[in-house]
Amino acid sequence: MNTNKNNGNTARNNRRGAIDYASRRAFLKAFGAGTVLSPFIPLLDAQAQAAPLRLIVITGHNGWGEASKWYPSGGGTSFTMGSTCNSLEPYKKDIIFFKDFEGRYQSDEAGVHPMASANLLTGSPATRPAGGTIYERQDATRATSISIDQHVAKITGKSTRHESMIMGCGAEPFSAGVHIGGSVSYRGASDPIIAEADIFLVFDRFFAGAANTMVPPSGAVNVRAGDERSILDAVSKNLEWMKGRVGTEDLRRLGAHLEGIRSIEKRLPPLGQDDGMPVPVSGCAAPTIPAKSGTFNTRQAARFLPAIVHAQIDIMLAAMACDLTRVGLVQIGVTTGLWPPSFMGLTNTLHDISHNFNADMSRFTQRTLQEGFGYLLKRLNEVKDGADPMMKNVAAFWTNEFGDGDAHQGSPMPIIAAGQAGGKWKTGRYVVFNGKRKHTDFLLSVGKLFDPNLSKFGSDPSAGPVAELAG
Amino acid sequence: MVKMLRNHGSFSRSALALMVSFSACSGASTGGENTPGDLPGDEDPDVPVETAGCKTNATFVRSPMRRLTAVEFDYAAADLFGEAGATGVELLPSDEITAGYANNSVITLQPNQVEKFQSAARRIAEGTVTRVDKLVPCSGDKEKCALDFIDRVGRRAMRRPLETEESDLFAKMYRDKAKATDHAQGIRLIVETMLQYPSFMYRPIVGVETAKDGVRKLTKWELAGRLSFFLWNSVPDDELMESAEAGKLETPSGIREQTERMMQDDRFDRSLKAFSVQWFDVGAIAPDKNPADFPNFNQEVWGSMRDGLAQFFAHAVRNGGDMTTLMTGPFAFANKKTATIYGVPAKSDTLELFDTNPAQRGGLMTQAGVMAALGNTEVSRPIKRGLFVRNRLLCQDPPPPPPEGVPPFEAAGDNLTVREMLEAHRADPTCASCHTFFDPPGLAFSHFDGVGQYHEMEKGKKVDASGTLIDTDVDGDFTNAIEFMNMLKDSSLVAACVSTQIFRFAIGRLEEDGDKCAQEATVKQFADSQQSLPGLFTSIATSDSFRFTGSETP
Repeated sequence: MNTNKNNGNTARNNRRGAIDYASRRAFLKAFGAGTVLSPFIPLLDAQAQAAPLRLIVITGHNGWGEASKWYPSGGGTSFTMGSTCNSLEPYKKDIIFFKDFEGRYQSDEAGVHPMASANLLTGSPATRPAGGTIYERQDATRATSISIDQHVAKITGKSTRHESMIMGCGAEPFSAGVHIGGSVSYRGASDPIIAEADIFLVFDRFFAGAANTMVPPSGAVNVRAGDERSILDAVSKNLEWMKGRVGTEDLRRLGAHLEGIRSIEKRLPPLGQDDGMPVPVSGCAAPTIPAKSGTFNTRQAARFLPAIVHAQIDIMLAAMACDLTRVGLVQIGVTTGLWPPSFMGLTNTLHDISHNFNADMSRFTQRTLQEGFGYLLKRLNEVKDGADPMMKNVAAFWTNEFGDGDAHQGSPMPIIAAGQAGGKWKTGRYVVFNGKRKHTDFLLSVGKLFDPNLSKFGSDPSAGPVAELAG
Repeated sequence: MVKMLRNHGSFSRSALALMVSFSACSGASTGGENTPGDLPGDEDPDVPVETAGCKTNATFVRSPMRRLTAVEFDYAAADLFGEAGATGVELLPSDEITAGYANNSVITLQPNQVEKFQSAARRIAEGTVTRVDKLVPCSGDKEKCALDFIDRVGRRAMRRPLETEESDLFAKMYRDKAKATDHAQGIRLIVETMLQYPSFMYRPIVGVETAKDGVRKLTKWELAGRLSFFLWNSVPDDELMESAEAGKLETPSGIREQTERMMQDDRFDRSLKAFSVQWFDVGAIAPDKNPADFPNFNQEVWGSMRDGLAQFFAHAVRNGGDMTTLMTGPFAFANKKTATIYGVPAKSDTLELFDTNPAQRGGLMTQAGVMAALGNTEVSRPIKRGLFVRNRLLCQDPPPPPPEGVPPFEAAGDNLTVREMLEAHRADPTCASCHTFFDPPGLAFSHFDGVGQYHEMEKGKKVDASGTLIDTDVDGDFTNAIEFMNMLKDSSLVAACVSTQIFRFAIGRLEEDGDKCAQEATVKQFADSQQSLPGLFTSIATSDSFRFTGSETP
């Protein structure tokens, strides 16, 4: 098979300069592989680099319901899942079930929900303003440091088109806008990421993308040639100008905006060239997601949670197969939570359920584990990195800001790890700790997979990484 | 006091004009360039007013820079470049609510959100190509017209004159593009750039030093921007910019003149809507309702309820209403989708003004959208409604929950009404401390079901909406929502809370200690004007908290 002469893209390729032929992914990304390329992909596969390690986080909220239904029976490598986690039974070989971690928050004050949720992945205490009533203060609750997914994303994002994919299903309670007192992913202190609820927007961003609109219809003059660059140039100049004219607190926001501009620039063709970089479509196919028509509503978690979460996981794994990103998060529900899970016949709101209907809270946790983490594990066994299931090269975990949500207890804090983390995690075990282990130690262990020099994560003192992950 | 004028179907601009000039202090000369007027602060406009009897050691906090909300971006794009609704608000990043209002957001833009603004800007800009002659009317030299357009529209978009370098950069971009393609594409590129321009997207408030330590005064441009986003949810018009340039916004009286003008403009409705739906937390997406209980409830019905609430509030303000109107006004805006819920004979798709049965429904709280947002999927929802009244109408915190956690509800029998369930719950002294505080203000609305329809019976029993209100300045017994709201209308706590809510929307942050004197002055003016709602907007716009800022957050 002739690899370099049988397609019209060669000239474009050469014009772009160096391509790392050792990496199929880098090749596809830079080249914009169309169907015409598919015949020689197997050749590249043979010399493909080892699949990269990815981080996947799924969060549940408001606690696990009844403790008696939560824990497995048995121990070590021989255990049976509790009824709340029964959907994970077929994937026991892929998980490490921990009993338990110590989280930071206890039932010590009103409005502790968003404080706990801001702490969950950052490992630092949260802050909130003094003014207003508890209603306003909860909205304005913020974490004080970066979350683990974003810490990792800043590292892995150097090699991928997108740093991370942060999605939420029912993570925004219905309201005039988004109340983000419930965010779990933070780019830094007081810098929450709003989890994207719209699966169509995420799909477009990763698989249709703004880049495609830069490709002119064949034969037509591209009236947009060079536009993005000159616009971004003007925008950058203005941002720099403003930076000298605002207070220190505002600088952070301008800096983040500039970062966004840079990430768009990174994907643009060199100045003066009018062809954008199409998204790879071969070898790593775009996922199939629900149709936009009909009654399906991507923002209505109350009715459509299973379909939304499945689509989010499918999009995430497809993007990871294409190496468009290596960090993904799906927030299922939200702390407090003012919507009712009607899709499973429950009519009270999440918050009510967590405080007043413990058996329903178990049912809700069971169902969301099944549709979320369970579905993820199923797909990680099906999606391949070359010959291996993707499971091998993933570090995934499920967690929740509370164990006993009714009592606002952050301890015990549930964490279920999954995936072989490129060989570093030994799965198929039920680990019961002797003594207490802080959940920040687990965050540290996750961080170290991507950032070996990391010695502490969050603000609490650390006992070091969780050795039990390695067996 | 002129009582609210009922003007079925359309707002009465003349009534508003009458009210605002009436509510302003008597004998006011509104206008005049830097002429000292009659408002506190006119004499010495460059330092905050020393209010007699009000002392605070705190100074103003710095107002964080705000990014335009999705709705503001959309309105601004429409005002600057025509074609309202071209943005596709649903495609813009969701607005985060902070301290109750989307314009209080301090969130940074994530890369994917920058992309969303990029696509919105592109979509709007491409829409201008075919109507460039309308957008940039030009009989002579096209380039000259384009450069005029850049400076004229640029000034409104950035709420300040363009810097020379900026003007030159835009001019060069236009010329290069026009040369490579044509005039329309050149304009398109300018539009697309301006919409993504940080000076357009962000509203920093920096101010200039004053004689008073730690207090800075907003520049005339910052004030024009703050005023237009407060009253129009959008960029200023040329007149406001000219007024700023002429130094007319330096004094409270000068601000009042512009405020009164802007409140008579149609664009004021946008802010009235944005404020009211956020104050009452009535979001764009329909709350979930059980179809078995509410088979006719859907997103369209919800949209009509939401717009109806906004129009109720707008009608009250536009017609010089007061607290009585807000709390008890027996009217509603309904169309055929919400006719049954309100029990009115609405026949068309358009929302129209109807009288409601004054013995059953009156005031903002009883609007269907509010009752539905605070209603459960199936039954009415007293706790949520009660907490809402405490938080958003009284600005009160609930007592902290018991230290051992919230005890669960007793197993509810199917035949128990919600009231009976709550009564059982309150029998537990641990529960009673909180529930006597927030249950009664919720139970007052027991006649309203999950979509806001009025019922005399619940589960075969006559609805009992009676209760006792405690911990306010209007404590007492009531038998239903009408009596309850008639108590609240006389509460100075509620009046002050309404003022606080508009304050947060106007200034873009929570009130702090340094705002105490300005807030007290506003509340007093509200009382002195016999609670004129349009007057309240003017008071806030001319208050020290609106005109001044701090150096840094303490």
